[in-house]
Amino acid sequence: MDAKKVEAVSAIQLEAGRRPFTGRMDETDNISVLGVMVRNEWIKQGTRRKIWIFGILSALLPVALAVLQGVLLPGQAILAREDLFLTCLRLITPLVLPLMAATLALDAFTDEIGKGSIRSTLFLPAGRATVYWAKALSILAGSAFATGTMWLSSVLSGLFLPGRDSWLVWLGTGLAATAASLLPTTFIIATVMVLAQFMKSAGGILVSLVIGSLGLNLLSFLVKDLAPVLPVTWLGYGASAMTLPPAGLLAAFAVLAAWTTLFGMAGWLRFERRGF
Amino acid sequence: MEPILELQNLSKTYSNGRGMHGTTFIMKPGDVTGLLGANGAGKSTVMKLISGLLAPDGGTLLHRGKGTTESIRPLLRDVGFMVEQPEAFGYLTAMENLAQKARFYRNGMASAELALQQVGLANHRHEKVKTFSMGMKQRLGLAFALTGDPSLLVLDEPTNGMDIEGRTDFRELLLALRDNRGLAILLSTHLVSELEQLADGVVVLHEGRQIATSGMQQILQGGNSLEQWYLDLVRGSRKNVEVA
Repeated sequence: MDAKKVEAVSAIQLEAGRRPFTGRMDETDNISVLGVMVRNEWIKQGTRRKIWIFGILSALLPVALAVLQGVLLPGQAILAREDLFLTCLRLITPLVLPLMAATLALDAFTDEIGKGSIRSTLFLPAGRATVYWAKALSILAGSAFATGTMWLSSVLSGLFLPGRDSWLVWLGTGLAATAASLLPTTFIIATVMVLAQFMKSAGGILVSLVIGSLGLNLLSFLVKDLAPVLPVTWLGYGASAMTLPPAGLLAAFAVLAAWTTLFGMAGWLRFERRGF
Repeated sequence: MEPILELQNLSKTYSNGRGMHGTTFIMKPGDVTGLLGANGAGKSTVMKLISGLLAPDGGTLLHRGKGTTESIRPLLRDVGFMVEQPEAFGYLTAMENLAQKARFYRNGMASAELALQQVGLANHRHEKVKTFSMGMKQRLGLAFALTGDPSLLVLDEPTNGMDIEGRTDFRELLLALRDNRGLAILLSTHLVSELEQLADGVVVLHEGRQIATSGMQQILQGGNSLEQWYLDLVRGSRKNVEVA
């Protein structure tokens, strides 16, 4: 493009109310860097099909259970509306929710690093710490989105099921179960994020997760005293953690939060220092 | 005039012992400097050190007189990068790719629109990047670097994959940007003829060392060509190493 064309385009730009090119953008743009970065990550995540597939599956599960009860067992109150969401959450927490969280984390780190597009992200005026934590928040938001979709679908499907308690108990149970299921999910996300800083292959990371889980389960079986401080002991509870006695719930929270913080920070330190 | 960028003895050694040692040069507004060197000479390493993709082992990198160790964010705000093969997000459209950067600037979206027009991709703004040819991806990489009105462009082999017309357009665009906006440009390329027409200064890298820095006028005076000057320099450097 020659100089005249550049001038012409600049003129169009001026007409649009933009200041002429005089060098750098204003340093006082006063834009929330973390906010923009999270938005960027969310847009990337939302453009891919995976999160919508997980969202749709999560929404369909309560509908399927309600229809099954209505069609196969009409008139029998086996599944009360209060139990629908918790039942669904118990079904997806052991495998589907961790798999979804792991998939989103792999997309955000392993896929970008493997394809080289992480460089485009690192050239953004955000800094590595912001990039790392924005990705973490975005993955967590993606997992919460699937759980939220399922909760909403459970509320709507539950309208067609017999009820036991008041609406407040119903909603409160749902929120508590969601919170309880998100802590193990956050731990899975942090684990994938730290592994992604050392391993290139998504398959390798998934295999490591399975082997690590089996190994820790074996360790907790062999060394009973170690079991309370191992994350795998509390991971299995998932949404059911809310049914634990207060001491057990506190222990589950403390152990998972400690491991999540440790893995999250380790991944961040490695991400800050590695070359791309 | 305050330099935009100053490299003082910047060094990086990889685990295999190779790398780049003692790179020193400055970039002022309006400078067009070429990094010249064979494959493995250290050109990409220098660019990665400037962009923060790699951390230096030694030396200093100053952006507008300030070190970048504390925070590289001001440098990333002020400098547009296109390092190695630019990999955009294939599942996003061209405009969505640029918007990722534009959102960090108050007038960023207008700047992204303009960048797309400047590189000739305005008609493809809503197409997914995975459908783009290599040349189009290169041009999108340049548009990404231009988004946000940088004062310096750092371009690594920017015309890779471009056809003859694309290269000519690209050269004219860079010169227009320099003349109209005082944009400084640091670019590496194997194409000596391209550099001869674009650059007003050259930094020569050879086997991980900086062996010369010169103005283009000095090189070309007396009817010399940049190619001959470069070959004499590199061969001379090799002989010196052999004698030593």
